[in-house]
Amino acid sequence: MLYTTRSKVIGSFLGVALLVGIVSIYIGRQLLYKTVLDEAESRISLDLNAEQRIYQGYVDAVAAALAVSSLDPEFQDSIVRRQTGSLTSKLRLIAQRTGLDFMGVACADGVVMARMGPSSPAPVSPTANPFVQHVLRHGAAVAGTAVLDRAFLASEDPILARQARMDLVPTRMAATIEQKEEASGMAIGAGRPIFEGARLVGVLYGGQLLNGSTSFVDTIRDTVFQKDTYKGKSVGVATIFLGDARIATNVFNPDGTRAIGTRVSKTVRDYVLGSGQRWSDRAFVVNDWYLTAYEPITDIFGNRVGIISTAVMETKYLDVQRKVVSIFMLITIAGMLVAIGMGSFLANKIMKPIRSLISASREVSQGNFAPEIGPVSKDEIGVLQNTFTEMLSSLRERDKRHKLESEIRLLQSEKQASAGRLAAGVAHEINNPLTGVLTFSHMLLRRKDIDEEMRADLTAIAKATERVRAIVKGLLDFSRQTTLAPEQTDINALVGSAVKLVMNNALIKGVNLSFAPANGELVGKVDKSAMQGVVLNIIMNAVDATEAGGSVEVRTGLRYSASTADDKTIEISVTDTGCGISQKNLDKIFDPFFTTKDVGKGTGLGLSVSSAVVERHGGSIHVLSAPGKGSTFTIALPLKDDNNDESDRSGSEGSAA
Amino acid sequence: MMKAIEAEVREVRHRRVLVVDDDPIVLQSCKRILESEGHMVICVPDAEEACVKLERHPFDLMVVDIKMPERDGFYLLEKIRGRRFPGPLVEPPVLVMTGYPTHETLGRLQKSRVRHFIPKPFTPDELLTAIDILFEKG
Repeated sequence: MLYTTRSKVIGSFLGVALLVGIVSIYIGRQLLYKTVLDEAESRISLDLNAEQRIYQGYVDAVAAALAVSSLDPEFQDSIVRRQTGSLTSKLRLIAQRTGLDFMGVACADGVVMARMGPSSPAPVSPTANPFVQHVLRHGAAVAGTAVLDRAFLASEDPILARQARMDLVPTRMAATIEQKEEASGMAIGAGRPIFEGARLVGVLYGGQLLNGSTSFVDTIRDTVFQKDTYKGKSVGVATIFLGDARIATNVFNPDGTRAIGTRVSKTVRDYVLGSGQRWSDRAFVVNDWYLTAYEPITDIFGNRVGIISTAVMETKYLDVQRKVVSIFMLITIAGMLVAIGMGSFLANKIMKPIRSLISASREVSQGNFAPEIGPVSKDEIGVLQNTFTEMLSSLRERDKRHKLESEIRLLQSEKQASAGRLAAGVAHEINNPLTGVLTFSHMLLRRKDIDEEMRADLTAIAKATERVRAIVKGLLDFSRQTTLAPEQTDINALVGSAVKLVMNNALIKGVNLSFAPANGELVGKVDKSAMQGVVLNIIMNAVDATEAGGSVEVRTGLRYSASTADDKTIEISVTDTGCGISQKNLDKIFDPFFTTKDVGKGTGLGLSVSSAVVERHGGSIHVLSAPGKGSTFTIALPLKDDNNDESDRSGSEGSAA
Repeated sequence: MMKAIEAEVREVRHRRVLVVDDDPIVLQSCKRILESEGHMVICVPDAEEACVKLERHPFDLMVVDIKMPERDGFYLLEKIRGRRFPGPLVEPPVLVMTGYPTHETLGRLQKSRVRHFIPKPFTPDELLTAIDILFEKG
């Protein structure tokens, strides 16, 4: 039972600690995740913007290079004159300076006049050159992205065709396609019409192939993420997609190669390429989770041909989150440990006085009414302890009173028993010598030769002896105590007749004797003559103890027990205004032979016999007395059912004498 | 004067009386009272002695104490019942005396068919009256 309370307290504490811990871990994790994610997403968004700016910068650079070249009059002149040789070398020089992968000049019909690539290109349709096509169609300079087919690339430079070609790697979550390889390339480039006067003499075009280019993506990465690494890996990556396939990236395969040819997930592809919107979320990239942003790349004709994306490793943020969560968990565990400690401490603190109380009550049940209950607490338990202590002291008080009462009762009955035995023994022993004294005093009195004086002396001896005989007879009567014959008796009538018997005595003495009988019938099962003797004895004692002018009041009544309504007691009380009984004498008045009357006026047996008679009726006699003010004797007789035969008990007691 | 006449009347019958009591003062008292009336008195202190005397001498009356150490009066009453003794009487009449007349004692006396009983202490007249009543009623 003790350990349950203890574990309940500890359990509650633990529960609270655990709940708070779990809730804070959950909320913390969610909040943190959301914050970090939002943070990361806004950063990613910015990063993507930066990436786009850089991309656009590249486009602008190409356009600028072409513009600058076209402004050169010598270069223009070479175009007008179609000086292929000098054009080629000039183109090569410009391309080298501006980092273009391909560059050429087409005639007004679109047929290439000169290019920087190898001199014997395979023939190709003029429409294959998107930049030239655009310029010819719109008559204005153009710059941007374009998809270049394999034939065009090959015609420009076979190396470019090889650079663009890649195997498509099957990728988890990507859309399923039949295509095994990608031969087209994606380039940023520009086209610029060359006029002589108002006549279009040719189109200058050039650009950079993005496929397999490391410089572009790495520049972006180094610019945007500034070589920020986490666990040996770059935190951010940049990727250019042609359609949904990676053509330039710094996402690495597990084997360390760039993840060229891997593809974006179908969801992203449909979202970005299909709807042309920006995608920003966590995404699984090649072999890891990243926080990503994708934006479509639109070519010079307005078609969505690819995707530009940037991504930040989620691990970095996840690790932060993990770290925070584990700190939270540590705090929770610490909280739980504290809860266990505090719970145990509190339980001990609470239970300690309770345990003392429990052991104290055990001691009380074993009879020790003054057990140690430990220091008194200042809380409700202290109230309990105080109540317990009060209860103990009243228990002690009651126990003491009971002990005293039973001791007195025991003493009383022992006194009576031993007095009875003593009386019997004394009577028997004294009777023999008394026989002698009686015999010889009387024999002497028979003689005729004695003088009057001697006769008077002998008569005195004989009379005194007769008195002794009377006392001894009384003693024997007391020790014998005849059997009772209880019968239904009107108690009021019984007491009334006793009062009548003493009334003359009281009148002579000048004592006002009155009787106040109880209202209604008061019937009890008593031995009429014995009980009348008792009442008579007590009333006579009261009258004897009261001086002239005093009063003796006799009452009868019925008292109900406080505990059970069925327990009723007949009470006969005799109150006098006499001399009272001193405290010293109070516990002796029921002793045989105790008397305060003059010698010869009472044997001192009356009250002891009365007490014995009342006790054999199952009742008791109580005395209340104040010396000098008077006494009240109360006879209490239990009112029993008629079925109980009282005479059985008294009969067996009677023969014991 | 009256007492003198009564004494003379009693003197007519001189009875042989056996007194049994363990207390010498009681024996002495009985002997003094009975002898003053002219009876022949033999005193014995216990039941055994009484039996011995009863075997040897005829008695007209026994005055027996009930409570005696060792063999008590009841023992004696039991022992002499129905026995033949010398003299005219089969079994002398018994006057029981006791200083301790309890219900029990009285009941046992009734069973022993003893009807004459005198409580101790007694005056000489009380004893003599009791004996007279015994012989009158038989």
